[in-house]
Amino acid sequence: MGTLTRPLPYRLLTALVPGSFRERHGASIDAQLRHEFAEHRESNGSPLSFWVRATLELARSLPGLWRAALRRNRRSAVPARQGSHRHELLQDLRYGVRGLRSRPAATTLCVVALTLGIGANTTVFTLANEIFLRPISVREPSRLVDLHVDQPGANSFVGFSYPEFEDLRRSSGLQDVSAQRGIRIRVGNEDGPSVAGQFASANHFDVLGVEAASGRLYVADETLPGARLVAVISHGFWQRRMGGTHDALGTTLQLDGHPATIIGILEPGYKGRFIGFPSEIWLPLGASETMRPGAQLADRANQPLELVGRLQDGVSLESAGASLNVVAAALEEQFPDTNQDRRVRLTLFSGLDESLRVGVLGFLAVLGILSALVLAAACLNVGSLLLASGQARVPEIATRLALGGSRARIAKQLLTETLILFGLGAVAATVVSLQLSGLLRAMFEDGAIPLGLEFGVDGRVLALTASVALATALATGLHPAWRATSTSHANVLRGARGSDAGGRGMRRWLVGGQVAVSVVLLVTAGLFLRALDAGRSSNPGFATDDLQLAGLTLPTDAYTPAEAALVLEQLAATLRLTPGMEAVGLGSSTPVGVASSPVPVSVLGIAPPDGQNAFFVDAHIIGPQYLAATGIAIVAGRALGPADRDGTLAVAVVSETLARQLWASRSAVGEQLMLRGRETTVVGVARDTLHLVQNRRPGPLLYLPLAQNPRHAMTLVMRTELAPSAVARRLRAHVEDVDSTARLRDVRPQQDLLDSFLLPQEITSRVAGGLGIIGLVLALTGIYGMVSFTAASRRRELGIRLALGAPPEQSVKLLLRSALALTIAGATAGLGISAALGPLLGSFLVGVSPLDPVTLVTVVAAILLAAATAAYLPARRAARIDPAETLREG
Amino acid sequence: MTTLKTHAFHILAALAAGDSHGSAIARLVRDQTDGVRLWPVTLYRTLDQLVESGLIAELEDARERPEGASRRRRYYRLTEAGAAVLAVEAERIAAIARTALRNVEDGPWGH
Repeated sequence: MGTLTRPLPYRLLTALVPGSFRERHGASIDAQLRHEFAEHRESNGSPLSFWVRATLELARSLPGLWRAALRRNRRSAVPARQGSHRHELLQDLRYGVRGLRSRPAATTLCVVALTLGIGANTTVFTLANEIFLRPISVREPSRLVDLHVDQPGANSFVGFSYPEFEDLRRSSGLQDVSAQRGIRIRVGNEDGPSVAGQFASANHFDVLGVEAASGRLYVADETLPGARLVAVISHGFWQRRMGGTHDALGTTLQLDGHPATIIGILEPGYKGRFIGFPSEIWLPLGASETMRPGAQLADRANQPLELVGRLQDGVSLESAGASLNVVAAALEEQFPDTNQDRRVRLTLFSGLDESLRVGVLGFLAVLGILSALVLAAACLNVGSLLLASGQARVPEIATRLALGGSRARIAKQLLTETLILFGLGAVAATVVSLQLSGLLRAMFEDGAIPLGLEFGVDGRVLALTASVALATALATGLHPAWRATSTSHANVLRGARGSDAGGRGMRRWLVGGQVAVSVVLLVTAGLFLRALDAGRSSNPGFATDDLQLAGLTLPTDAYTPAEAALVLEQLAATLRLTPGMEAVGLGSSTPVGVASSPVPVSVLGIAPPDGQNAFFVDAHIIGPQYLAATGIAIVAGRALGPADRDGTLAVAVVSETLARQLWASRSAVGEQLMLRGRETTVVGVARDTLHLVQNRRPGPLLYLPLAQNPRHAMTLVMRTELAPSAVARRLRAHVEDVDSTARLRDVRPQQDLLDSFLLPQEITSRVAGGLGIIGLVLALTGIYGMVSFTAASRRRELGIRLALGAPPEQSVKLLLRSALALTIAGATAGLGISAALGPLLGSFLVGVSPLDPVTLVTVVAAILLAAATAAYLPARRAARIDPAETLREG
Repeated sequence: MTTLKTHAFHILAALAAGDSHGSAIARLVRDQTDGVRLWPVTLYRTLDQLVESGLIAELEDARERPEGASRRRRYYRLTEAGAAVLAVEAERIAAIARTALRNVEDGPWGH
């Protein structure tokens, strides 16, 4: 029988099984597990369910095994074993457990605090692990490269054209290049769900090194336009949607209404080339001609493709890039219209789009810092409880020392207690973070742009959790353990008590630290909340709440661009007349989107930026009603109208920013632009809008009339109170009436896209808010505990004061004053740390300064109020003592 | 006397059919009970407990083992005490079952 690979959690638990039991039965248990596993697999059980049950069984058995082992041990206790290492450890563990059980409230508090602290770190690391550390399963990823368009004005959402792809494939630095573009495909009938897919060139799988688990991959012939449509599906799609049966191969699926034959199922590990955006269906690139009929592959102005290349053996990134740019330079020469100033940039293959990487990294860094802070607060809390409990045990420890106990041994026992606490915390944290992962997954899947992240807890995550727990346990426990055993025991035995001024000072530091940490957490949460608020209440320059969008495409083989533009305009104009539609416009892009659409513009007498032959400005091609439908106001001149047709004066409207950039204070109306060799007159200036959501502030934008720049694919922009589903129904019926060859896709509200870009803020504010409250609770228990403790150790002093006639309020004030001084010191430190974190946070906070006074003042006021309450309760109690009694005690 | 734990009962019942070793006991239990599954750790832990309480014994002497038995395996045998406990427990369960059957048949659900 083959060897059985047991998962890490099971192996870790095995290490906790008493040695005697393992010696006696280990081999038999292994043999039987192997046997059962084989049987389980034969009856089609999943390995996961088997190991979950086996692990649970083992975990459940552990207490019983230890009870039995200890019972046996006691019975057969031989003096020689007394001093053995193992025995000593057992004794320490027992002692530790007993110690913890004798203080259930403190123990529970510590474990809860640690669970939250460690759990937060585990969860954040799970996320980081998923995004940055787990490799995408492709062959030799180190030789794969991403190709990026390097052209002024183009952002990372701008891609390559098909002819360009064919040209670049011939470059000598790369073994081969694959082209693909992401799409959403409707599966089944009209209301069927849509799934993520890709149009990919025939060599796609070969370049990435991905194989079919069953069936085959498509071949070059099948990617030609007009070929019978074939599809390759992901393992997950096969399992979920096709029932995982073997007769799935060869069946036909309706994809966006086109019948496609399934010819292959990919290996389970491969979910597409992007992390978080799993792909389910791969279709030949040529199929895009029929399925997305707006633009032809042969058109160099149609640039939807992203390219991935595989480096030649021994060729560096730089020299491959240089050889690609030789091709790019030749293309510029040959096709100046589309390839002016256009170069190619190479980066190492990554599952994360460039534009996202920095943002995601920063987001994780913020979450990482916050969770580390919570852990720090938890450790400070546990540390101060340990100091207190050490203090309480001084008489016991002193007795043991006096009887000849070794200091190291006693300190070790105290440390064992801490280790048990952190161990419990780590185990609970793992469980909690598994729960949290589910919650996070749901949160990500719910966004307007659903993210498919797995959050698998693997060996790396468990190892990190264990080492974090161990390191923090040692950092927290060593000092209190050593201090507790250092008391001069003679003093204690003589009856002196509670004069450990050093320990009290230490505790003050720890409590102050907790206050500082909770201030940082709450300030961060508050800032993100304010930014979210600002983001929600701001708009891109026009109202978006009742703006709906839909893609509309006419077939390129049935219409010339000019005819298509006319049909599209008619469609929009008649749609406006149906009930519930307030305004309908046409735009080449969504009013707010992510992809830039730069066109080269030159202006007589104004030099373009250094190294460029022209200005590159984003252009929106729009129908006559677009500005009215979106509500973008004209601030000078006129809007584009139905009179701006082919054959009349070529015109454009510029945004305020563009007008300012080109003509400064001069009026832009009447100025001339050179646009693709055509003299174009500026007839109006439009109010600035945010047209690229990730830019956060309006950029220069050019509006051109559709009739003078005709095309087959446009976006309908509808201002309407109707619900998205009603809009979709209405549109389908309307398109059927007017021109049934037109294809509709992606009916959705504009607001969805804007909201999706607030998702990081939303998640961070929720997470930071949760962590902030945890931190605050920890700090308050710390303050409460410290004041009670101070009051107890100053009982005599307070008693004497009262006896001498001081009013009780004075005692309360005394205790409150010291607690508040501590809180103020902690809060000040916290504000300092927050200010230092400002630059990091600033990049996430739109519309809010990292030093937002409202947030800072609110947090500090809340902390002071809460701290005063937490301190007042024990102080009040201390002031009520009977002075005579305290004096008698002395 | 206290009632036996279910696992222990199943193991004793399996050993009543003859001496046996760990995984064979697990198989027997599964066959006799229509699918009760003893996970390995539970099985060996319960075996230890039963040995400790004297209800079963481990066969130390190789000559006592069944023919063809593996040398590496530990074989167990029901002790007299074990047999007695098993009988009492089986009778108790049978009595419960009889009562239940009678009640069902006499009640409104009977035929």
